[in-house]
Amino acid sequence: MKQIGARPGVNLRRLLKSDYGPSLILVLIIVLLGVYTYAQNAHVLTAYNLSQTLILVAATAFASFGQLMVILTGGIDLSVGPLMGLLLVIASFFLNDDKSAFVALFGFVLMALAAVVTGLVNGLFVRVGRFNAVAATLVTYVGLQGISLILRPFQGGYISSAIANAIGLSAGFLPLAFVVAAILAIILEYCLRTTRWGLNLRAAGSREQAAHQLGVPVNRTVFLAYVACSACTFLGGIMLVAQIGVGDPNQGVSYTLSSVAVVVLGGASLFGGRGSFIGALLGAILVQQILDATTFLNLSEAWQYWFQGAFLLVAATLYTRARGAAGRARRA
Amino acid sequence: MGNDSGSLLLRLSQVWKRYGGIVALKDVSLDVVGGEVHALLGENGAGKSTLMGIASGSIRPDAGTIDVAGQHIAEMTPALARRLGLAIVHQHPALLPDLTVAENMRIAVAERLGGGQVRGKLLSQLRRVGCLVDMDERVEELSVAQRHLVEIAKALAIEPRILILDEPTAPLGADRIAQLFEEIRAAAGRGTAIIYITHRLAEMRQIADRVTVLRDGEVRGTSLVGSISDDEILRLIIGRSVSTVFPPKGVSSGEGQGGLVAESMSGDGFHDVNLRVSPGEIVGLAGIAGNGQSDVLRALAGLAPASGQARLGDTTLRLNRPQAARAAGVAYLSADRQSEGLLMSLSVRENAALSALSQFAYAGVVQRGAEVAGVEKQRKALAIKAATIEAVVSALSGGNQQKVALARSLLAQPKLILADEPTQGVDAGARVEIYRILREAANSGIPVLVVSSDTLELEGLCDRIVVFSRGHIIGELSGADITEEKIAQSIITATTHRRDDAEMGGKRR
Repeated sequence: MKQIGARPGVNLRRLLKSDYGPSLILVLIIVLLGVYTYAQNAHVLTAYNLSQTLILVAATAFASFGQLMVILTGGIDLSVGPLMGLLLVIASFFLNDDKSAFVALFGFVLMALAAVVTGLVNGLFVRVGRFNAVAATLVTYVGLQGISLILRPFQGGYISSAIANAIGLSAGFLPLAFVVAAILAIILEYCLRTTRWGLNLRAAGSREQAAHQLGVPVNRTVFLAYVACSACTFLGGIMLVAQIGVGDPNQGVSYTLSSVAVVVLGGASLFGGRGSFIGALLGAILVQQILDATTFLNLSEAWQYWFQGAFLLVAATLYTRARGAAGRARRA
Repeated sequence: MGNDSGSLLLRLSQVWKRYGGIVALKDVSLDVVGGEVHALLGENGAGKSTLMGIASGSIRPDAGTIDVAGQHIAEMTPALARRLGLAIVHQHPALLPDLTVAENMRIAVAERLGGGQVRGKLLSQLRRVGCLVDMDERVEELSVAQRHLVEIAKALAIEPRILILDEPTAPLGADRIAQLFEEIRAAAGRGTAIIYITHRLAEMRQIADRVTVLRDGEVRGTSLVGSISDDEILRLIIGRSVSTVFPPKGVSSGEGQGGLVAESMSGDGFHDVNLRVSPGEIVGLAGIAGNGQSDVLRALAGLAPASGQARLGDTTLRLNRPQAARAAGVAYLSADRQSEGLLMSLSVRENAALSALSQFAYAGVVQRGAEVAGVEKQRKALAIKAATIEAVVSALSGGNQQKVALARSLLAQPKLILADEPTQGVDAGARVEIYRILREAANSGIPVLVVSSDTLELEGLCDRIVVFSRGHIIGELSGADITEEKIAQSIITATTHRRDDAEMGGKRR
């Protein structure tokens, strides 16, 4: 055993196969892409651009932390995007310039409530109703989007600039929201590795039958994952409020796909059981960076999609390869 | 912790469990005392694992009570079982493939996590059972033997008052078995009550103090190991004497023309295999599960990649082509009926006729009359117990499902039958009929190749036995040499060379 541990090649291979392998690769890509973009257009690194980018990163990151919790259990939450949209729509009724602080506070409470109820409904569908996660959250997806469109058939309801500014508060190039997201990622990552909650989450997604035999409260764990997912989406929704600034029912939808994409880029398995919050944060950075880079490199909008698609494809292939023989044996 | 020797630690009373229409446990009661090793014997499907699932809280009984150390347990759950000091080593390890060895063990011991002391204790427990893997390796990366050792270490780590071992030795080599038995004796010495599930009589004699036999979900007897003979136990296990269970063996000398000839076949899990099955002959492939026997069958059926040559009569079998194999008359009975062998939501008729539809078809359209007549004839011949041939297959018992799979094979008028664990999960009555059906097929001139992990079954059914170890053929038995002892002996002699597997380089493939 000792002689094996002493071989650096083996350690590197193990690191790449671990849950942090993808994070390492992401850091590498982020740095390379950053250097290249900077070489082409130095405006990328202005404080203003950085802080704007990082605020958008925070929105995606919060939503993807929630998505990751659900995906770790082997499920998926498609309702993340429409929920973000609904939160924005709710905000557009209460968080306006002409409303009192009390009304604004009530708006926040209502947003939180909407998020928690969505999580409870998803959890009930999946664990009590025993619906497939895709089907269950597709139902809430459609339902939430319907509610948003009833509340705000057209764009309207401008968000108070004071509130938007407070959410977007930055110290130089560093927005507070991004710092919160980064700290949250570290805390969640620590909990995922060392606490009972983290073990249960991964156990439920790895092999439910075995987890049950081991005394893991699978039902409760998965149910709470959906609630926690919506709670994280609530944080993402607040970011969206500051970003968009007006009640628009269609602004949230794209977050469903981007939250899943980010989680997969971060190395999570869609079959459940493995993933990383740090990886999700890095994935969110990379996705936002790609969007940014296409602008600064004067590429057409189509390239945003080409790049994202290419990275996802490469990531999925690479990570599956790294898991290699063991993955094949499991399927057999 | 005090020594529990001699006190009643686990009492299961009048336990019932039904799955659909099948009664898995019928009024079963069992007492286990601290310090004793209590063997639980029975065939596959006798209800042993179900009973232990109930004791450990992962299966909920329909009726019956559980008492642990005199305390009545209203509802057992896996978490409660562990708090009460009950640990179980599952036949199929309850491990989480995406988590590391250390994490798996931590979940099982459920102590406050982190800290070097816990980790050190877990590590020394792993080493004591002879498992030399790295604690940070993912379980997915481990070999079958290593996983079993982790499963065993994980159970011992909680220092249980009651320890259940479900066929713990199946994938282990002789060294590891000896080490395991030492651990079991030490635990018994500390006053642990141990339930040891096995179907090997020799093992039971070696380790157990008392024995209880289950058959078809009922307790058939409990006795001190010293005061019951092997013959008596066998009769309790199969419910009649061996001679009435198995049909008379074939008269084929094994040298007839035609039949199956496989030469230097290699593939995933087996290497350089030479096999010959004559018409009218039943050949059994013996060995510990997962040593290549099943892989050979799958390769012959075209379901797994392989190289080499195989002929069936005058036709050369094209390997790697399931359709070609079927066209050549190869009928394959999968060990995994649920997901591979049968289409569970279709009817008996649809399942049975699937491989033979062309016989019932005229101009590409299936003639319902001919189909119904053909299937009905097979249903009678095989004594399939279903209300009608339109009954959905998933509603049948395991034995009848297997007979439907057999009916499908026979309707296609096969030239070779490959049967992987044909009686797994099948009740004793249906088992006798399946043996009869296979023997009748052989007598009609069809070569039959059977894989079984049940040495008793191989002894009773087969004309010739080929023993596998680690993907190689390591021996052959025929005629009077086909006895349970001889088969077990050649398997175990082979497994002594498996020692390395549990240690280094034991990675899968």
